[in-house]
Amino acid sequence: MQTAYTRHQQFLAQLFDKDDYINAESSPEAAHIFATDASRVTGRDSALLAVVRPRTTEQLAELLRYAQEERIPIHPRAAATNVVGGCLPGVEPFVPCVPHTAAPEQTATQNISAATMPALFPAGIVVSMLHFNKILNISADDFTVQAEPCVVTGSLQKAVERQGLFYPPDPASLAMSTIGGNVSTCAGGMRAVKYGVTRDYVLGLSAVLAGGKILHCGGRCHKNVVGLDIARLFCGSEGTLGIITELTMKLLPLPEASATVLAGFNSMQEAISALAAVFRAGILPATMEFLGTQTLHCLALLESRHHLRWNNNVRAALIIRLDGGQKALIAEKARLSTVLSGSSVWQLEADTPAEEEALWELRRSINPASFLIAPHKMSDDITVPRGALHAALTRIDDIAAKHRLHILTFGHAGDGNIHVNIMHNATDKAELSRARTAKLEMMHSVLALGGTMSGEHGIGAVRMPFINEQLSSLERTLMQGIKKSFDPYGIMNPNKAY
Amino acid sequence: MQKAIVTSLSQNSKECILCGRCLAVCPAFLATEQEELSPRAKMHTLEAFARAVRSAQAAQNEQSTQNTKVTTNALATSALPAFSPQKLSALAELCVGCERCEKACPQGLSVPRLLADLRAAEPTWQQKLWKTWLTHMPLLWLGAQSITTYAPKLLPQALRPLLQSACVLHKDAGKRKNKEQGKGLNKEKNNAAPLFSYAPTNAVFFVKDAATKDAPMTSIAPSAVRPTAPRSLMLFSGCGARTVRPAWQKKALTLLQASGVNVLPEADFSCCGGSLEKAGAKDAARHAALHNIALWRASGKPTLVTFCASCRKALNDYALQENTADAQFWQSEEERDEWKACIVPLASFLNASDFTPILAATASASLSASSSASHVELQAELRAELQDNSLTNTAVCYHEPCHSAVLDNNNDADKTLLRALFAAPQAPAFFVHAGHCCGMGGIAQLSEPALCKKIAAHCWQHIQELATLETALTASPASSNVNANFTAPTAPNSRTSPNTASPLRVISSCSACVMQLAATAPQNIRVQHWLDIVLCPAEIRK
Repeated sequence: MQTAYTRHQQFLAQLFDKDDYINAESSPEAAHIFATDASRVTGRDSALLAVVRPRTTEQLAELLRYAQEERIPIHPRAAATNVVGGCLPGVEPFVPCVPHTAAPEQTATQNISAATMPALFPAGIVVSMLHFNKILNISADDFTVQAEPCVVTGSLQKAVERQGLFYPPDPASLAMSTIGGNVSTCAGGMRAVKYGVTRDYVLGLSAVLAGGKILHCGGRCHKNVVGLDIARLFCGSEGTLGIITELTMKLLPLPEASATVLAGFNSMQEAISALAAVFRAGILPATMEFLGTQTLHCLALLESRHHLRWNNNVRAALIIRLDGGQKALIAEKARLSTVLSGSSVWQLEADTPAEEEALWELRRSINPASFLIAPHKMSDDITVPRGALHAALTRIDDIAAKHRLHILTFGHAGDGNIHVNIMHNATDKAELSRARTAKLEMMHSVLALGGTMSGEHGIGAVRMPFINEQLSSLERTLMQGIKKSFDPYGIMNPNKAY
Repeated sequence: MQKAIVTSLSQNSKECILCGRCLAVCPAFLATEQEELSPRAKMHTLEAFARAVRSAQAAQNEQSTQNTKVTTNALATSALPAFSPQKLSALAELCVGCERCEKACPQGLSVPRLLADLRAAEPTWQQKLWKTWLTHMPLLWLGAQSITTYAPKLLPQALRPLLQSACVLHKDAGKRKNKEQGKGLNKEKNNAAPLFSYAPTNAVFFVKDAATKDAPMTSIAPSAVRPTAPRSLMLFSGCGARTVRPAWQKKALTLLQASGVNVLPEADFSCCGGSLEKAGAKDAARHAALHNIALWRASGKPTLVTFCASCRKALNDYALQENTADAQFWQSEEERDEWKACIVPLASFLNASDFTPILAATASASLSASSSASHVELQAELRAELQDNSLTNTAVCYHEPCHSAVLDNNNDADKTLLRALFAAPQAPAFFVHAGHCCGMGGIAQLSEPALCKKIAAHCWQHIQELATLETALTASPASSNVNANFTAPTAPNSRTSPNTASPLRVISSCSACVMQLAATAPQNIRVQHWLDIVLCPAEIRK
């Protein structure tokens, strides 16, 4: 008798070309990478049935029809650069979900309870969407770009900039991450303080849902209030609602010029006060990055690489970029200088692209520099209301001192979003345990200040254990209900996100 | 193979952190969109395998008190979910060795280096074949050319693309009747069609000089010795020029001599060893390096001038070599630094102001006025070329070699020189194609011809898309910012056919790129080394 396993493999082998289908059992070597992502957490290889790469929407629809019929988990994947395990197959349910054997109507009223947790989730199919990588249309009249989900964000930006257009969201991974992945995680970036995040640019999309239905929503209109905003519901949904096959994104006119200022301060408090003063003065920078004391210490270790001489009095710094019309920029920069001159002890200005690049290279070198302090890190991207930044950073410094750890703080302070790297040596059990405690304490402090545990990385699989710290049971029930209306049997990237 | 994997990986002090930066640069990944071919996937999977083998060995050591003999093979296999070392290594082999991943990796990991170690530990027929190929190059190129031309069916399938490249580039390839009407062969009769004349007096058009009896070419004096010019120079031509296209060697020498520096006759260098090293033929690579360093030392440590980015990368990498008991590379640390400082690209010795664009009308007219009998043959050829407006007006694309990108941080001297040349108002449209490998791939050309072909197709698709965009922008610069609405030229998922291209000249600064691009080019695209677009005074003299 034919087993379900053979039936699935036969179906997939028929639906996909040889190069677009990996049987995880017969080619475990090729499939292994698909059990992980940039979170560095690896799922169970045995949780992987196959990897497929659809080329057409019809092919994808047929796959999702079959997967729903057979209750096979589906794990959408683009460049897999998320750091929270959003692409992992075989994540065991932390929060119990609908058992895959139950019909939707039977479970519709079921509350989330441990009793319904299936012992082992069945092996799933990773759907690599990388063949969907064409820019379909750039309209300089509509200020829109229409693209398939796996166009690399950096390439999309270059393509629109050639026509004097601008797609602002700039996650650090933009050279390799994709526009579809950016939408699924609602990626942010340094320019979010002025221009907002990915969500603010989604106008419309097409997606295939579990069961094979094809959804089209939104369009090229920059305003649209008819019904619920389904397109933006996909932002940050981490592949739990459907698989995006096409996106329409809003564009802006490309700013004529930009300039960057690096300002150093005596203390973290001085830096945060200066940040507030900049906004109060009516200046909205394109980026406003904060570097804490420990972060500057790391960068000083890398000094030879960036050729910057640190002023020894600098304990915290801001890197501020302004953009706009050439002439307006000169006036704006003068205003910024005036605001900063009150408190900063050191300033560096960059007006040419090459000079600016040198300063931003500094910002980018934080990650490699951090490993000069300790071999491992726990990385968080907490966000607090802008006014609570000082309180949050002070609390984090206290936690670091209490647990004798180096905790780096840096990032998009302009929108209250701080990257927190708890550096430690994981092979030292005691230190690892201190780091874990510090992480929890930090999270509780942030939530107590009205903050969020993630400003841009998302929840994925690795933060699910903490989800109840932030979301109420009502919120989670509503979210599960929304998912159910897209995906009645819960096959889409199960046990992640909410 | 299992032992080879474990040993090779133990040389990496760091692990892959799965950040994915290599995805942005890896040609094998970009051309196939198959993530399992990315450097990240290869490193991650090989590391997982090596870890499992090591822990199995550790477990075995603990049990060794019982003195039972268990092979590591059996242990490792039991520790892993059915990974086959052979399949693992076959997957890793799908790499063209461009070394872009190493540059992009924050951990400094390199798949090509890892592969070289793996191949060195487990040589297969491809490596042997490649080694034979490179070590007996002159003979093979010539033989290959006859075979390709007259008996193409005798060729092993895997070797055809490469041999076709050789055929295209061989100095007299054009004069032979080409029976092979197949893919990628450039059927034009002459590969020259220069665009710029080189006159280091910085004063006149060469055509004017050629036409004036009392100002013969021989009297043209170099403008000045370059301020940075070292005491003495020596060319390192590389296998591509030495065996396939000696014209490059000759022209490079003329350019150097004309710029007034002291050029020593080229020593009897062997292959740079780059491809040998990556193919895992480490002994042969080491031998080549030792030979070349010895010749350099014996010649008084001249500056070595190259016009092939791959040679330059390989020569640069000699500085990474450590002395061993049986191979003394460096007499001192200072010598190692001296060597590194001595490897210089030809373009860095040339000033853009010494070049003048050759204009179809004026050049042709001036040539007609010339009465020197020795110029007759050249004039006829030149006139034919120059009167062909489709050539002199054809847009030119500079393909940046991976090895330039990796060595020079995307700021290579060749690109700088060419940008300056084409900035002249009379020069044809010019653009740079960077970030995509041509798919030459060294040993992969033999072991993975299908992958090389895919990468080449991807490269050409990108060049042609860029050409469309660039020419559109040049044609209507005013409207492009305001009204131009871009719609993808082709329906999604249908690639542009590689054989229907608008005319274009593609130039590069790497012998290997030129060979590969020439062998895979769509029909009306001409591929050359940038040396081919320069006309030297010496060429008029002969």
